[in-house]
Amino acid sequence: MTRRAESGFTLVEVLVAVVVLAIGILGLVGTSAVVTRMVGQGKRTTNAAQVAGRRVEALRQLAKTTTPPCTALASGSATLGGGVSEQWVVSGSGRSRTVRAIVRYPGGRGRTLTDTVTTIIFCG
Amino acid sequence: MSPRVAPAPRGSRGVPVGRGPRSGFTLVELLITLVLLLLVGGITYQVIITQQRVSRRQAEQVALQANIRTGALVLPNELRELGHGASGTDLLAMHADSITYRAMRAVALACRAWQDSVWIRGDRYFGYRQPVAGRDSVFLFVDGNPATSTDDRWVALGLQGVAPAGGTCAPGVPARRLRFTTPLSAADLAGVVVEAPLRTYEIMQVKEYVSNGQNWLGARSISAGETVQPVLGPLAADGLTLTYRDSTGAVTTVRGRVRTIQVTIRGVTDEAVRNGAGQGALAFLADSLVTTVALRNTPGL
Repeated sequence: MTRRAESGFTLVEVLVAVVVLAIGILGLVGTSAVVTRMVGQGKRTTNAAQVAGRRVEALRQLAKTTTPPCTALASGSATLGGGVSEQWVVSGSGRSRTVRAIVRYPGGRGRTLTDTVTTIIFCG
Repeated sequence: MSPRVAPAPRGSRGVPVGRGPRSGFTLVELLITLVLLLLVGGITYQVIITQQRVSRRQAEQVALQANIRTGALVLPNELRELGHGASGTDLLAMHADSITYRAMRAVALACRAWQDSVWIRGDRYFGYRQPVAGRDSVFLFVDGNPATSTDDRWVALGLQGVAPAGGTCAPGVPARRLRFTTPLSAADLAGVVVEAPLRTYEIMQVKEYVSNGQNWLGARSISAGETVQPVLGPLAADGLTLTYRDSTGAVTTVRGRVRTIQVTIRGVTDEAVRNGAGQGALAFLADSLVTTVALRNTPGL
């Protein structure tokens, strides 16, 4: 009995096709893993922006507690939970201060990301 | 005579085609194919189901994050303008899960004043919307003696009617008449200067409330007699926590001492989703965001 090579798929061909399909499906799973990471990253970034916003609001309030205003403003830093740390830098003099709130937070895969909010506080 | 039948075509070995060993698959081939198909089909099904669950979880998470971000944006924007001053405090009631306050709606200048009404300049009106009779109230600035600021005050008056004035503040400057529910005293009227500022406001309440077994952030105009309207949600059982702090950062219960308000919003997903790689139990996801707003119109201490 003889068999012609083109008469159908060989087992090897089918196995190769299965492997190719598996690679494709793994690729699909990979994109979903990327999206999950990005959603988690979005959450951490939002949190970092809120940390910076809270610091700016606290400094804005602190600026008003003295007469003349703004004399209580000073640079500083703090460490929060979850690998988040913040640093605020007050610069300038006279009728306004420039405040930079810098938040460092984990960005996944061991990286550290930085979010900076800059504002000007009026000192009257 | 029997009919002639064409002879069946024959293969190379003289066996009729369609019956020979090349005419189909062997049982072993079929079994291997079936097993492979089942394997690949099963894996594909699992992957698609997992993918669907993961996508749904992602969509719910994104919606949840958007929800609490909106809350962290809307509430500070509402509360930022609150202040304490000559007219008392805008903070009318404060609780952990609700806050009642005077929400400023517009600023205008009065060009003429009577005990029962004022005319406001149509070209110097700045606000969120036009004044609404029966809903808005007015703070009218009474200067008193222009030589001193110690007798300056804001007089609160209800709004009974808003109408075109039937005259102008100055040539070409349209005027609107705001009629008060209770008249201004003669002494106060004497203290109203030309171009006296006035502010319109309504009393608003923002609170966490329960509807259909779920918690929501809602708001209502107490001045307009509204029932609470949903702003966003669903929230967790303790979805809104307001913490009121004084100038030293300590928690205070005295309204006039509040300088910053810390807003904590805890949201939950609309629907239960499977956690992990889509294999875990169905559960509602929760997420929270903490923000702080410094009240802008407060004195320093």
